[in-house]
Amino acid sequence: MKSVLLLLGISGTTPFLSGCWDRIEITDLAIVTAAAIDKNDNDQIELSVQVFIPSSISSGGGGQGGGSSQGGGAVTTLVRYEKGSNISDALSKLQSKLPRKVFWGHCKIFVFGEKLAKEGIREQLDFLLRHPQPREKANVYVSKGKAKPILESLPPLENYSGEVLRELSDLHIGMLVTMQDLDEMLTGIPQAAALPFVKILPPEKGQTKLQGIPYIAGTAVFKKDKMTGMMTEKETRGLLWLRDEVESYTVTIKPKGVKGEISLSPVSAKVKIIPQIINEKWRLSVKVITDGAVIQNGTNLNLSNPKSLNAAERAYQKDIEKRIKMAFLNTQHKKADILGLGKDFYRKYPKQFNKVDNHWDEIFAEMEVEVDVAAHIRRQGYINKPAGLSEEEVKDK
Amino acid sequence: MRWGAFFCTSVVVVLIILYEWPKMKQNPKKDKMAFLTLLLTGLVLSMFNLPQMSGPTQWIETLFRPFGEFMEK
Amino acid sequence: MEKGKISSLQMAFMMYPTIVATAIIGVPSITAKYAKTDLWLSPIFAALIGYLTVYIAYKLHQLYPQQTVIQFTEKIIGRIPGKIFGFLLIFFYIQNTGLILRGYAEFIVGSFLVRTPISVIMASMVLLCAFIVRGGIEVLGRAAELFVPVFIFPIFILILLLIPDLEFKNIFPVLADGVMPPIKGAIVPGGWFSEFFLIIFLLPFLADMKKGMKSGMKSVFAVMMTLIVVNLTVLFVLGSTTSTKLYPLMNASRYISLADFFEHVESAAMAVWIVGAFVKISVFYYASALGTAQWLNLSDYRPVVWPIGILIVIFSLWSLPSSVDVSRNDINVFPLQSILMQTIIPLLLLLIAIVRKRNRKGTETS
Repeated sequence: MKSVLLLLGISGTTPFLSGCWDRIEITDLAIVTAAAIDKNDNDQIELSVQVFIPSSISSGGGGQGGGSSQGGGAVTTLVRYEKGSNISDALSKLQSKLPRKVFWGHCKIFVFGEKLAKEGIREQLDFLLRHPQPREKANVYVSKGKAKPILESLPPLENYSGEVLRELSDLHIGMLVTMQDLDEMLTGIPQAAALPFVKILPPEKGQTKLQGIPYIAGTAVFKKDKMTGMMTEKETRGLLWLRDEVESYTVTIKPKGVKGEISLSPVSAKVKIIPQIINEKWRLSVKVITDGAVIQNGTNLNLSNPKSLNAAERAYQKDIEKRIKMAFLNTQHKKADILGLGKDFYRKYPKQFNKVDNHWDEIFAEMEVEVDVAAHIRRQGYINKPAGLSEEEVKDK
Repeated sequence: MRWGAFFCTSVVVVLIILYEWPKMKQNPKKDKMAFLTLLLTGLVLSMFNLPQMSGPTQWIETLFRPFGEFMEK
Repeated sequence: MEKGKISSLQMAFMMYPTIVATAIIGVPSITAKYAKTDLWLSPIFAALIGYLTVYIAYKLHQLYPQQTVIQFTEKIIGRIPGKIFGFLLIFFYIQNTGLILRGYAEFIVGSFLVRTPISVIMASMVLLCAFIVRGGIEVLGRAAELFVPVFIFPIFILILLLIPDLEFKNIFPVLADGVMPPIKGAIVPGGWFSEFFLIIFLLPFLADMKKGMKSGMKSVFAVMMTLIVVNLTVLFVLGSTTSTKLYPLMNASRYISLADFFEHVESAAMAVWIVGAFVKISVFYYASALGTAQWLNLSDYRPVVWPIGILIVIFSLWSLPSSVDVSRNDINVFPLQSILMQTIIPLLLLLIAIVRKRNRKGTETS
């Protein structure tokens, strides 16, 4: 009896030994590194995926062999695309063109095409948030024109174009918006979003067309889920100040009464946004404390002298003030609260905010802003006087 | 009727009886009766298409409907 | 029937994952739906139900030591009503073990093993739990003692790793709409805290009976703190989107990314979470099996363990066609059912028992 039971037990468990239903070998996966979602003129969704080719790494010796400067080694990714009525439809068609199962877990870049962005991204975003594989931490972009060429470009320096975008975002050149941020901006109070706007840097003469690299060229402004406008690179910088995301940043200022400019880098900043309601008037007070180190001094000011330093600091302060105000006026002009100020007001004045909830846009557009900058120059590099000037030429006042 | 589920449950029930019966030889008759009755209940229930069938969980939900409406507000 | 003994610490260790394991997965989002940014206050209100339940269970136990609830209700309210309540209670535990099992399996199927049939996941878990329940309370207690640290540490490491991504501003405004939203948000976790009534099945086997109340209360406190911390973490990471997620802690843990290479840790964290779910289901399973055996006046509960396992799987499927029905049941039915069966009725039992004892004493002295 016992041996029969034992036998039954052993033979009964053998089917489980092979693992479970969801066993997936890595060689069965097509690892997506970046995805682009476009809308074509027939209102169809075009999904392009950049798929990593594993053999390119193992056989190509890391892809850097031969001293080729421009991805001349092995191509590490391939791009496939397919049309469909929405992402999942396109994906299922795409799957029939790929011998391996599409895997989203490592996809860190999602690029929306301009047309799709203008017509609304909500329906496609739903797929990305609902599917268990795509990550909340993935970065989201909007491209100028179609998004597909961005995936197709073969950047010389990095392995694939998705990596270029990710590295650029990590440098905080433009805004860095993850899928979670986007979800929060759209579902939360602001009802407006901002995504980095990507263009392709055209290749130089003599290079093949594919060698242009994508770069971040401003910010796309969304109201609800539709793109309504964009901000230039310069305005984006101001936006970064307001969002307290300033990093590795160079400020060039022009002090009054002297010729030439002073550049400061790196600049660090602490930004405090204080919402206020005074006498029923909604206003915003922005307090900035910023430090910088001199990296180039084209003027004849001797910055070791407290007086000249003071003049330079004043110019620095004015410059930052101007940048912030410009960016803020621009968002007000677009009536899109991409800074999430509504949330700040709600946090401080929940009752008052609930009353104006439905016409917050207008209140935001008419809000006054007061910028208060405390700017200091803390270091001046290896030399203490402007280079190439004799003692007499240096203005020492 | 879902034969697949019923068949699987039958196999499981047989395995359970084979495994458990020798151990409960000493136990009183009542234990054996309870053991077999509960197994039989399980076996009978497994013949139905359970997820679609109305059952205690649904009855309780009907019973607690006012509370459910309160929570859905 | 059960000859094993456990320590009061082991009991606390058993109860902690019994509440926390499923409460940290789905409940923050339900709480957020009602309490918005005040979701971290809800566990405090809900814990009051936990303290009350532990107190009731301990007092009942003091009046009738060496007996479990199935046995002494017959003494309190008479044989027939006692049997009826006993049946309802056993039925509640078997049905809810099924619901917990389904919730666990839905989570696994929904996020990791997408193509695995749900019945396989449920059956394998029940198989495992059946073995430990057959092993008796000592085995269960030791397993809990062993597994709970394994279960707690990853969760706290998870939260530590999330610190760079926390947006502390999300906590404001506090109590914007008054105190009612967090109280309403506390109803669902309150149902979870009510599960502390399970200690009534464990108290008779305590080696150090006197510490029972104290360690039960400690356990409630630990659960409350865990839920507060988890709710705050979820709020700080996900902000206003918390209520739209099905498993907020899961979404938050996916957000971990340190230095560009330390990421994608959620599978590891959730694998450990299964250990917590395992203890939870085992404790419920044990209560169901022991209760059934006592209700039927059997000489041992072990023969009914396997048949009840089948019933649990059946209840996890019965009239629940989709995961939507499961989560709706968690919100619309479970909290009231749980508080009613495990807190309100026991409270009435306790009052009746006290009055009866006093009357008897009164007649004896006069």
